[in-house]
Amino acid sequence: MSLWSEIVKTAVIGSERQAFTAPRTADSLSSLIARLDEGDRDRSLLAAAAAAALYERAGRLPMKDTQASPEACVCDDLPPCSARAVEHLRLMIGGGYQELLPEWLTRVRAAGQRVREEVLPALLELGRARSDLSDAILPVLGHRGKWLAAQNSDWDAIFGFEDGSVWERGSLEQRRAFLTLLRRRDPARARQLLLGVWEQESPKNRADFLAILAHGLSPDDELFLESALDDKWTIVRRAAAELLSSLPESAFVERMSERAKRLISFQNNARGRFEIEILLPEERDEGMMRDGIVKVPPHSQIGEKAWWLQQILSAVPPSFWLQSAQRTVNDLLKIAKKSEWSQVLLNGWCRAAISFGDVEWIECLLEVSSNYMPAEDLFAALPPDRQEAMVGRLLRKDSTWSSFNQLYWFFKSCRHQWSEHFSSEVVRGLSKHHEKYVLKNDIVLRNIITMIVCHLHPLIIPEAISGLNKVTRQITKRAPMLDHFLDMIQFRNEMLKEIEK
Amino acid sequence: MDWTTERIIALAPDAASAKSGQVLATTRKWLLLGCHERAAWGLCQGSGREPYQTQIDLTEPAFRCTCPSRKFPCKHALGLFLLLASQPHAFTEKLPPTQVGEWLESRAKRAHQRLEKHTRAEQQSDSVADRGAQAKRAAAREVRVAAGLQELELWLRDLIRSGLAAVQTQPPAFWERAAARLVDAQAPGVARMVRELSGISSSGDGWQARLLERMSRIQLVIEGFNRFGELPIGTQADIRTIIGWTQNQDDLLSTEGFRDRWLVLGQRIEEEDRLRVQRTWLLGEAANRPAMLLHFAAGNQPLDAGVVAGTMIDAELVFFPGAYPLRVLIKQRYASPVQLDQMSGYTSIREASSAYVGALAHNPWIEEFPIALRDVIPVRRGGDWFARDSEASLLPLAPRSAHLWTLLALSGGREIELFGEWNGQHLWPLSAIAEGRFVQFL
Repeated sequence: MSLWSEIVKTAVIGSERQAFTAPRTADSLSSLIARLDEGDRDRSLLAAAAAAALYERAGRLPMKDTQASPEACVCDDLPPCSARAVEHLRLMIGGGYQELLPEWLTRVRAAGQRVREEVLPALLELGRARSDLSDAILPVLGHRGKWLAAQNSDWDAIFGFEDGSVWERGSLEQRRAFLTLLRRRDPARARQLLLGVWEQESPKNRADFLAILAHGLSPDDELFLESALDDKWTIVRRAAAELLSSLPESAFVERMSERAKRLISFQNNARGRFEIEILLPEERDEGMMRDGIVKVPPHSQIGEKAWWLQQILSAVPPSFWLQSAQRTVNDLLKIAKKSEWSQVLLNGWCRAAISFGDVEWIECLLEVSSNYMPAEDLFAALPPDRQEAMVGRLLRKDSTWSSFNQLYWFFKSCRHQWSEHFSSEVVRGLSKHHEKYVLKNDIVLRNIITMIVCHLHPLIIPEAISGLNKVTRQITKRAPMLDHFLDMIQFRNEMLKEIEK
Repeated sequence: MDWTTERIIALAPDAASAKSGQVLATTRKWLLLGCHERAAWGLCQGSGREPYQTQIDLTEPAFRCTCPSRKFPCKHALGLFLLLASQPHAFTEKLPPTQVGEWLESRAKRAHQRLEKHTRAEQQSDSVADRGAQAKRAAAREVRVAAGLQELELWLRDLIRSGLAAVQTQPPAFWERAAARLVDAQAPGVARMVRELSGISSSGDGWQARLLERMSRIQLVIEGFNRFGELPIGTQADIRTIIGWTQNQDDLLSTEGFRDRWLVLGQRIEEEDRLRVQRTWLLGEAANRPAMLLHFAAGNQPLDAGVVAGTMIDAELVFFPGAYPLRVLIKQRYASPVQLDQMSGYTSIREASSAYVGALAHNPWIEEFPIALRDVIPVRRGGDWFARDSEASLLPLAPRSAHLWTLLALSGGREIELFGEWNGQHLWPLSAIAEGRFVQFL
C-alpha cells in the first residue's frame, strides 16, 4: 500500500483511535515525514497528508498508450464552407430560422462543399434528433464527418453504412432509420437486405419494414411484395397491398380491376339517363384476403361490404373508369354524388387518384371536395406547377388574403421551391395586402410569413426585399410581421450568398 | 488584425447575444455606417425613438453603445462588428462623428494618464499620515487573520481526530459556519477553500482521499502562515494571496513589466460565489513564459473583452509577486493585435509534466496550470478521453468538457496543437490549432 493510502486510511478512522507512524524507509518523502513531531498526532497526520498529497500529485507519471495510433481520416476532402456559413448553421441548429436548415444543407451540397470540423458534432447530433434531415446532412459531412460518425455508435447508426452492423445488431428504431436511409440511397439493396432477414422478423417488424419500401417504389419490388401477400398475418399483407396498389402495371392492380369491373357498371336507363350500378361484394373470398382486404371497417359510418368495395376501388387506376364508362371525369363525379354509395365511390377514387398520381382526377376531385374527402392529401399529390396554378388563381382574389387559415394551408402544401412567376405573384400579393399584416402578431400569420420566406425563388429575393422595404417606409406603425419577413429573408439572402460565394 | 466572424461571435457574453448580434448584422438595420483604421461606428434603429449610436475602438477592441442593455458587448456592437467583417464596403462614412472622435480621444487620454500616474507614483510616495493609518489597519487585519487561522487549525484537528468517516453526516451548515468565521477573520481566500470541502463527502467513490487532500492544502496554508518569516519572499506573497490579501494594482503598475509578444492561448469563464471569473492565458513568445489575466464580474456586469483568444498582443505586463508568478496586469499595449498561428507548446507530455512539477515545487497551491502541447492526437480509450503525444504518453482530458468530440473532429486522427488548463488530474481544453487554424472552445 502506498504511503498516501496509509495516511488516508488513518484519517478515515481518526487519529484519536489510530496513531500514524511514518515508515522508516530511506526515501526522501518518508524521511521528511519522519521529521514531524509524532507526539502531536493530529498535526503530524495533517502535515504528512500535505506532503504525501503533493508528492502524489507531482510524481504522477503519464500513462502509456498500449493501443495503436488511431487510423487517421483521409486528407483529401471537399472544400469547407466559409466560417460565416458555419455561423449561419450554428444559429439555425440553435433554433434561429431553423426552417431554413434543409435549404442550407442542400445548397452546401450543391456547391460541392462540406461543413467545417468544429461544427460536426453539433450537426451529427442534429441528424440523430431529426431523422428528416439526416439524408441532407450526410453529403455535407465530408470524409471527416463520416470518419467522426464512425467513432460514435449513436451517429454511426445513422451515418455509418460501410459495414451494416447496425442492421444486424441495432435496436428496432436504429434499424428502421438504417433501412429508410438505405432505401433512399440504394432501393434494390434495401429490398435485398429485408429479404435476407424476412423469415426471422416478427409480423409487426415485417409490416413496419415493408412500409419503408414506399420510398423509391418501383416495378422491381413487385415480385417481393407479391410474395409478401402469402404472409399469415393481415398487417403484413395489408402493408404489401398498400404498396402494390401504387404500381399500375402490377398483377395485384390487375386483380383489383377485375373485381371492380364485376361490381360496378355503367349504362343508360330506360329514359336514356346515364347511370351507375353498384353491387357490393357478397363475401371476402380467399383471393381478397390474400390481397390484404381488411374485414372490419375503421369506423361505423360505413358497412363491412361497402368498406371492402372502397378498398378495391382504392387500388384501381382511375383512368380505368374513363375507359369503361366512356365519359369524362366530371360526368362520373356527378353521378357518383347522386349515388347512394357516393361516399364509398368518392373516397375510393380519391385514394386511387392520389396513389396513381392522376392529375386530371385530382383536380376534378378538388373542385367537388367536401368534408369527408382528404383535400389536403389530394392537393399534396399534385405536381408543383399545378399546385402553383391553383393557388395562384386563389391568391388573385382579395378574400383569400383575409383567411389566414386558408393561406396557411396552401403554403404548407406547396413545399417545393416556388417558381419565379409564382414567387413574384406571392410577393406582390403580400405588398398589396400588407395592411392585414401590420400590427398583428399572430402565430398563424407568423408561420405563413416563415413559409413564404422559405420557399420564394432566390431570384425573387431582391424584389421581395425592396418591395416590402417600400411598404415599411409607407407605414408609421410598428409592423412586427413585416419585420419578421424582412429579417428572415435578409438572413436567407446572406445565407445563400455565403454558400455561393 | 483580421477580425473573422468566429472571433467576433466569441466576444458575445452569451448565446442569446450572439444570436441577436447576427440578426443585427445586416445593412437594413443601420441608418449610417462608417469606419477608419482605428474605429467603426453606426446608427442602429432599435425599439426606441432615437437610433442607438454604436462604436468600436478596433485597437483592443473596446465598445460603446447608447442602448440601455447591460450586456457587454451589446448586440448592437456585435452586429456592427459582424457587419464590418462581412461587408466592409457598406461602411461608407470615413469621417467620424464628433462623439466618436471624442470617445477615441478620451480613451487615448485615459491610457496616457494611467501611465503618467504610475510614473508619478514611482516618484512621490503617499503622505506620512496616510501611511500611518494604513499601517494600523493592516496590523489589525494581521491579528484577526492569525486568530482565524488558529481557530481553523483546531477545527481541522478535530476533524482528523474523530476521523473523516464522521463528516458524511454533517449538514452543509457545518462547513458554512467554519467558512463564515474565516470571512469574519478577513481571510476570504481560506474561507473559500473551506467552503469547497462541503460537497466532497457526497461526491462518490474515493471522497475520503479527495477530502484529505483538500484539507491538507489548507493545513499547508496554516503552517506557512505560522512560519511566515522563515519563508522566501515569493512564497510569502503566495500565502498572502491565497489567504485573501489583495495587491494594490496601482502600486503594481508602477513597477517595471515585461514586454513581449504575448500569445493569447485561451480563456475560461467560471461561476464562483455569484461572480463570474475569467482567466485569460497568455504565453510570451520570446521568454516562453506563461501569464494569466484575471477578471471578475458580478451579475450582469461585463467581463473584459479587450484581450481576445487566438491573437497576439505586443504589450508590457506586470506580474503579481509570487514564487511562481502567473497572474499579470497589462501595463501598456503597443500595437493592434495580430492573428496567432502557432502555440509554442511543449513537445511532449513528459515535458509538460515536468514544467508542472517545477511550478508546484515553487507554489504548491497552484490550481490551474496552463499547458500547450504540440503534435498531440485526441484519442478515446474506453469511455475516457486523452491527448496522445508522439511518445505514446496519454494526458487525460476533462470528461466534463463539451468539446471533446470537437477536438476529435478537428484532428481527424492527426496531430494538432492543444491548449488547456491542467488541474493535476485532467486537462480542460480551451483551444486548438488544426491545419493552421485556431479554434477556441467556449
